Amino acid sequence: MKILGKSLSTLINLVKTKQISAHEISEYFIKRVKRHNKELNVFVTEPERHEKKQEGLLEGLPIPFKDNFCTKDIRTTAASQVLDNFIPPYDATVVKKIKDAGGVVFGKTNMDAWAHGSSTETSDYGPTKNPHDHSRVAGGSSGGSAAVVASYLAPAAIGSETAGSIRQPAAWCGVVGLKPTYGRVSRYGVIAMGSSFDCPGPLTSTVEDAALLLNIIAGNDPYDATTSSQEPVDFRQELEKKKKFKIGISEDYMELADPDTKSRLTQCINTLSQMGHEIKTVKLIDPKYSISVYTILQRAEVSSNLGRYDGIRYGNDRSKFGEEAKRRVMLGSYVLSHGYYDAYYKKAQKIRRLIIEDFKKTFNDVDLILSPTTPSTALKLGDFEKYPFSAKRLTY
Amino acid sequence: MAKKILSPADVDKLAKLSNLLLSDDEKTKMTKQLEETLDYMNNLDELDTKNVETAHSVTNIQNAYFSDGEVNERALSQQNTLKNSKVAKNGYFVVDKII
Repeated sequence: MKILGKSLSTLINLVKTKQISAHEISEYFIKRVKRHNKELNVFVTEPERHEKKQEGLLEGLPIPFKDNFCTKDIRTTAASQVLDNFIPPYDATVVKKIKDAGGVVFGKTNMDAWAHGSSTETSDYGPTKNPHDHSRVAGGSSGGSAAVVASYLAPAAIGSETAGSIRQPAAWCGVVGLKPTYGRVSRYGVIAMGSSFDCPGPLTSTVEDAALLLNIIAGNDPYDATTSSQEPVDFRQELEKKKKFKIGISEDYMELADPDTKSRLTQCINTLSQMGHEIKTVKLIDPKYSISVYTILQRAEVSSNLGRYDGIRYGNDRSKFGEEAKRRVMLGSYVLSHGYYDAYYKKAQKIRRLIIEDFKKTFNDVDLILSPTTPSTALKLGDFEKYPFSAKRLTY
Repeated sequence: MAKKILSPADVDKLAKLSNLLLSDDEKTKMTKQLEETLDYMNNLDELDTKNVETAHSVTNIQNAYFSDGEVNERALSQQNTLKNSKVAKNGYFVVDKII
């Protein structure tokens, strides 16, 4: 049977109806990884054969995880030399949920070191190439999880996002990336970057697969006190409902996109309008302030979160940090230090409140906001350095 | 806010606070980059934040606690906790002398 390109949901049905076995599917992907990973550099740790038969909704199918999810007895590096030798003694909640649902951990995917970046070029294990054009980056930080789906080395993958790290690589690799609301999915066992922003989510080839995986990983977790106690809806069922939405469009966001991206998005908006959805212009706070707020708060949280790496309990000492991590920790220390805390950190927390209120107000008028995921398509390897603060680097 | 200039002493202090050993080259490069970033972030002064509360919590969720006597099923054993440590002795992590 031809497996290439079949969605996770399709494969599940084929296994369930005994048209193909999970073992055959696993062998197929193992072979593909052996053939293509060397060139693409999608995995930090390649998947191993899994002999035990799994039961459950996922029918023993392979799911790769971004390398910042702790996986019991499987090396987890966050793509940093600091954790080059780290073997977690426990599973992240998301990993546990996928395993409990009959999924198999299928290798650990490449990422920007500590998820600091938007291209996987800060990975200590080399960049991941874009499967569609090897001279371009896959995006990041969940670049490996996006590329693994785009190159069909696995039917779906799990990534994480702090500000764009699922959506941007998904866009650049041409796959579906879903960043759930903060608190919808547990962060327990995910190597912390910006704790008030981090959120795990699926990268898939279809929207249905994203809903399927979100159903499995969403929900309250006593091990992450910031998860919401509100019961998640059945996302797959929600897809069946025929709804008409009020869709907000922000001209300021649209203007950031390059002409090609903008024209394709305008086509999408027209299609949605023809389908009967209402399109409405909305005005949001200028995203240039969001970049500043994010830069301050994220660096502050990074400096705190990376403080724990001293090589005593696990991993190597702090001399192994790469340039980007050092730069972020330094800036974080600055905005939190005596004399600058009020001017930067506190000010940013206040403007974060303004942004929250602004979005709340806007969502009184519209059901959702549609915007370009990124201003351009995938950049060439090495080009990121050219855009330190341009809109092209809006994500992290 | 005026353009921020970082002195070598400022950078040394930050490196100390960050527990990072930086080479002279790294310090020079980073000084320039930090100044550029701080300069960009000055745009926040354009917004009025008088009477605005900070947003330390974005979820409005209350603290969650384990009940007394509840078993932590995912707790790590001492052996597993020490598994990744390079130096452990008698069931403890060995750390540098502090005082």
